[in-house]
Amino acid sequence: MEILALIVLTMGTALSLRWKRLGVIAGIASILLVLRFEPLLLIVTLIALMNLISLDLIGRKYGTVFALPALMLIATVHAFYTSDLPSLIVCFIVASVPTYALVLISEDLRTKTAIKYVTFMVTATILFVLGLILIYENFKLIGSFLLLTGLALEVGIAPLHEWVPDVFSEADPISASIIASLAKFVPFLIAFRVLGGEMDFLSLTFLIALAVISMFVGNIGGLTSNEPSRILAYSTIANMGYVISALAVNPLSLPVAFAGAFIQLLANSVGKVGFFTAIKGGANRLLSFILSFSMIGVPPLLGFWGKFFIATSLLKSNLTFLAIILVVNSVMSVPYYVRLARFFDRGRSALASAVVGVCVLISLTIYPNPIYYSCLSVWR
Amino acid sequence: MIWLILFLSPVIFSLPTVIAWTYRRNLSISSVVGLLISLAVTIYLYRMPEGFYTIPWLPSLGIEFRFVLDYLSKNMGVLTALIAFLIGIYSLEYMREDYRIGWYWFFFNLFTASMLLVVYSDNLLGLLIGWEGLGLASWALIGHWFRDDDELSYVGVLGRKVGPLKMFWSPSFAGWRAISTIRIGDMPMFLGIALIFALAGNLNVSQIDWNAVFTKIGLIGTTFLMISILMGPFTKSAQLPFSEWLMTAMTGPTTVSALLHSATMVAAGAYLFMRLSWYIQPWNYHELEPVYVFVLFLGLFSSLYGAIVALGCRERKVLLASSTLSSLGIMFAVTSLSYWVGKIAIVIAFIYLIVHAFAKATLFLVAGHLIHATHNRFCCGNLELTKRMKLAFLATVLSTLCLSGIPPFTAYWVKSGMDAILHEVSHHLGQTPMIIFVLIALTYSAFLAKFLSLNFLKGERAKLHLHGERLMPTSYTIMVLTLLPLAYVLYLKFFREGLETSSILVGILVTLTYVVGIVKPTHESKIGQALGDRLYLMALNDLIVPKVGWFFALLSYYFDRAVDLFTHSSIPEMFEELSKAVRRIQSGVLTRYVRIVIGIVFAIILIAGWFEWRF
Amino acid sequence: MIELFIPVIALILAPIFRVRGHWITFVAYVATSAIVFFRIVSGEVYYLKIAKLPDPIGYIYLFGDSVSHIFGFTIALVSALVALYSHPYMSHRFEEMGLSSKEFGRYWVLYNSYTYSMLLLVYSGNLLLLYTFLEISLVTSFLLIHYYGYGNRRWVSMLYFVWTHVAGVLALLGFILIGFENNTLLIPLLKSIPTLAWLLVFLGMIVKLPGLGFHIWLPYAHAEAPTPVSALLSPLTVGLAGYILLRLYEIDPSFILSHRTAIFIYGFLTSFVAGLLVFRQKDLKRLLAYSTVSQMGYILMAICLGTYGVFGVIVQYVSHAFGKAILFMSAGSIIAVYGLRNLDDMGGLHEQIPQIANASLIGFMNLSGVLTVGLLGEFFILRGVLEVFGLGRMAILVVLVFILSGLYSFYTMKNVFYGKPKGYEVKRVPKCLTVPLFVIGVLSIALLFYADPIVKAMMGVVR
Repeated sequence: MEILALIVLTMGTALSLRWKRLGVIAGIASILLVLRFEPLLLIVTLIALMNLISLDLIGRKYGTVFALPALMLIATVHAFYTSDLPSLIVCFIVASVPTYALVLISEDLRTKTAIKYVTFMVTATILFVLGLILIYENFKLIGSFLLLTGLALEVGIAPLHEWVPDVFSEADPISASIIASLAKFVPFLIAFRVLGGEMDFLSLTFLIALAVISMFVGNIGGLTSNEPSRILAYSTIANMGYVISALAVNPLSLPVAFAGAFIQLLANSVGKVGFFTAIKGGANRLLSFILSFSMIGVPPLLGFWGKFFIATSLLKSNLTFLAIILVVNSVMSVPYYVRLARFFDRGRSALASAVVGVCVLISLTIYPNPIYYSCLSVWR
Repeated sequence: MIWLILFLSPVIFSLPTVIAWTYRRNLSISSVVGLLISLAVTIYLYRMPEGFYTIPWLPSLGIEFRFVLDYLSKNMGVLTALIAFLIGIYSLEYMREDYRIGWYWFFFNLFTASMLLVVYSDNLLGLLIGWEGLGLASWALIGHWFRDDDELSYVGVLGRKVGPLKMFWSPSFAGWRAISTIRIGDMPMFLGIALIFALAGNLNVSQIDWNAVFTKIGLIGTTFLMISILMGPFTKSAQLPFSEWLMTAMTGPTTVSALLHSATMVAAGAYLFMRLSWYIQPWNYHELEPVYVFVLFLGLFSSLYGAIVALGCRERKVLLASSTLSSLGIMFAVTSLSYWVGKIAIVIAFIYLIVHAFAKATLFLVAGHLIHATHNRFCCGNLELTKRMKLAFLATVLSTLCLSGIPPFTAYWVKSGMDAILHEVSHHLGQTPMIIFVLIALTYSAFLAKFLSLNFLKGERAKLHLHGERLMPTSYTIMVLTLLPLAYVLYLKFFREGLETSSILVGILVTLTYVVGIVKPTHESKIGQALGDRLYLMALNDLIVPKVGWFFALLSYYFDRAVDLFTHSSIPEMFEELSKAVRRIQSGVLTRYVRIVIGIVFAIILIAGWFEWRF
Repeated sequence: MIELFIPVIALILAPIFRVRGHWITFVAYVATSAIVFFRIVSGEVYYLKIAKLPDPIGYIYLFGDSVSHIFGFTIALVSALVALYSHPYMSHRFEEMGLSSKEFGRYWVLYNSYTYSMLLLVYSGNLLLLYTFLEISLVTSFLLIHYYGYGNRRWVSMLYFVWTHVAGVLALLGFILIGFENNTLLIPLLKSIPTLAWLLVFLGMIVKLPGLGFHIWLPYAHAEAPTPVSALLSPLTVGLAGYILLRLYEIDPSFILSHRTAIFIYGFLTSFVAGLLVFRQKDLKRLLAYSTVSQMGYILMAICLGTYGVFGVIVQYVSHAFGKAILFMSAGSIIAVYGLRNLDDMGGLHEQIPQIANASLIGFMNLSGVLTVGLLGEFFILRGVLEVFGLGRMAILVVLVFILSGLYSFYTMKNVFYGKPKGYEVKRVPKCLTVPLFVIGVLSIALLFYADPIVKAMMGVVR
């Protein structure tokens, strides 16, 4: 299926140089081809679709760009169903490289930003892959350290987060939205697969340190930021902190932690897509408040379930202090999310409004069972 | 059912006035009809056999509205309803031009209903409802003229100051003073009631096993319990040092003062003490001795204080108010004698309450009429006034004679009874109570004579504004005339005590002071001034307690500000600074980022590698 | 069961009708409260399963027993009357803010979700569901303050959100720990509560309730909220913290029992200090907010006082809800009619607005427990303190607090409504600004004499 999707995608992209629309259609078609009836993946697919559609807001002539989210999605979906090392590495790279191009297509971009981004990503990829290989070669400790460092660089976990605020605020909002959403799944998936529940004390300490620093840096940094895109950057840093903290649990509660982490990632992605689209095309105030509440973690919205399951798994692993830090951070984030929601007043374009609307709908997941159990089944 | 009519009819019949008084002012009559119905019911109850009647209220806790018909409640009920009804008639005329008739009638009738509830209730919680109703209604009525714009409604000389004390009080302030003082007594009383419920599991005064209660908590506990319950009566009946509110309560309409000072409110305190003593039967319990001695002396001192303050007062109503205080002190003192002499003390005190109620209501109503006629709160009026207001004069003469204890008028017989039991008690307590009592009696008759003299005989000339009032004189005449049959009844009851030499001696002395009071009503002196300023007891209410309260409020305020600053200023600022620090990393320069990242990555690799290969 | 779904009608229809939405809301909540009152009398207990969530959450379901009914009755009733009151008040507020009456659409959405979430909170059979409704009520009230508040409404609403969110998440952690201990979060199945969980929930709840020191957010939020929202926040929402403590206390009182004296003293200090602070307030709504803190101190004290204390918590919640709803609404009426908030500008207002003055009197009677159902609340608290601490210092502390609340009540009455009138011209007050106040007032007096269903219901629960 994935092969077929790739073929469709290649064909469509090649032809889209002439007919822009064809690129969109090919992208959508290939995305639909890899559709799996697994709630978790369905939502990921939905996010990819929204990414793809919202690219239209950038208003570039070429249809080629529409292939990029589709490609990333294919890699992401594939990663969920594979476990051998080379495939994982390929997926990782395929899910990450298209973002370079996405950063480059942004309007009125200073090339510096793109260079910054690419520099970091390349370093991250190298460290990540190196770590992966070392772990497979049974150098567990250094391997996991390198893997975590690569992960931190890749997704933007403090103190290796330096690129995030710059890129998010200088790149086009839509590109940023893709970087903040679709690109995050594969690295965490691999990290969970490889490291989950098997870390020794030292790397666990390192991991927890990363998580705590990231949460605090993200939330504190967001407090005084004034641009919406910078706020979103810091919010991403904080969210990555929440997600990575789920890695610290003991093997017994790992499935719950995995579910929590991925629901949190979904919530984060949906929020980011919604907000970045809103920056580009405006959004209704009430809708943006709902997105904000989801990000803050107000029950029974999606963002709450993520934090809830993470906190549950942490408490179950006797990491009470980490759970407390997590909820305290979710409180600290309140002011800037509310400020963020206030930036928006009403939608300016129909497309943007539709995207934001879908994001709000997903955020309004008040019944977590399907996603939760699908996370568990994916984990097994 | 009969009980519901008794309590609800005044309140319900006042509602038309409340709703429609702005455009139909003659609706006040319906309120008086409500009072009349209550009066009829109380008379009906008077003829019923003694016993208990219950209405379910909180059956799951064993609390019910339980009403008692006995000697005390039967008489007290009729007394309350009768006086309220007569004052109601008087008010029809007195309050005709008022700007808040609805308010007046509602609370006047609520007042009566609450008092009746207190009178008949056997259950302490039910009684407390009436009790709180009394407090609320008195607050409402004392502050009735809330606008504070009429000099006639103030107490004290406007603008006068003594040191830091303002010596004049407006109605709204007086209302607050009343309810705040009463509140201080009500809550300990509430605690006492809860304690009784905890100990006895029952709140019916007549059913409580007092013996079990007292033995369970011992001497100290009993004292605590009794004092906390009696805090209610003390504040309500304005015993020392809670007397001030009663004086400034004169800001209310005179009808209110009349009601307040005769059969309701202040009498409720004394009445409750009588009722409790009636059923506790203190003569059976040694634990109660400290309490009863305390009440005896508190009553006597309050009474003495009231009497000498009345000597110095120049305002008609304040003079009468302090005389009420004096009488209430006597009631408390005599009731407390029941510890030594038994039930007879309660009966005597209760009879004195009835006599006092009629006489004092008459005097207040007369005072109200005088204020109405002279537009002056202070004592004034001479023979010319007497000629124009004969009925008022006669009523005053009769009621002062009856109240001060001049033989053979009403109070003389009661006071003879008191003399007799005080004599009996002197074996236990010495002669002090007796001496204080005689002093009080002498002073009492002196200031009543002063009141008579300054208003009708020897006062300054007053300008009269008579409007041909009918209802007002009628009602106080009826009231004062009830004292005469009462005198006969009491003569029959106490003639033996009344013919004792000592009683006659006291009677003669009282008559003498009465005559002196009439002949020479005024005497300017420093002491008189201090007495007129009520010995500056208001410093407690207006200066010391508020100062202490404000001091603590200020402390709380500083605490509040500190917390506010810390949480809403310091903490957010700290986070802001932190946030700026975090954002300072974002310089936008790639080389600097790379340096940071490479530094961190190398450090991590070194640490990891060292740990990996060390072992 | 049906009564829990009547408000849904209002939730859907009221925003559609916009300006006339208050009637629908009113009717829906009156119907609810009437049915709930019958449930109190009949003492019915029922369950409604909704869904099963992964362990340790367990079944999400609604659950009604006597305690829920009593709280639910209060919430529904106050919501109904405040809805009626909202109409003239918010018209005035929208006019003042330059908004059109179309704004009522949004207002009714938020209002109804706010009240409905509070109603469902007391019927939640699962701690997670309870937490969910706690947060929904927080968020909706936050938005109401944010959109329609006074003063620095953005800052204030943020303040409110942050503080109460802290309360919420601390409680959530506690709930999760409880879930592990019992392997379920179903309230009737819970057996024991670990100390750490109790501590977390308790901390959260004293932020929300609030206790002394944590009370600092409340005057801001309650004073700057649009008045109908204040009239829900202060009577209903903060007291729900008491409800949560009560529920946990029923399951496992260990924590409260072992720290009884400390909590009691803390409750006393809360009540006493806040009571003193009332005297220093110049803004009427802020004054009322401090009195709320003082009254919540009662709840904190009462929770330590055994069976009768539990009764005290419940009755105190009801009486405070009624009283404070009346008072906030009357303060709002003064704002709507004369635009006055500062006590210095008031005095003698009985001259112009006697109806509101009289309603306030009933409100303050509720607070000080005179002739209203508050009398029973005080009675139970006194009874409780005697039972637990015996005769002595603690009992005197309670008496002190009761005296204080009586004092500030009538002191405020004097300062606002009596004294020399200030010469404002007499204006017509819309019926909806006064009638709801009297309805609540009459009910609170009637409940004193018809309190047996409530007492019986409470007896049933405690046994």
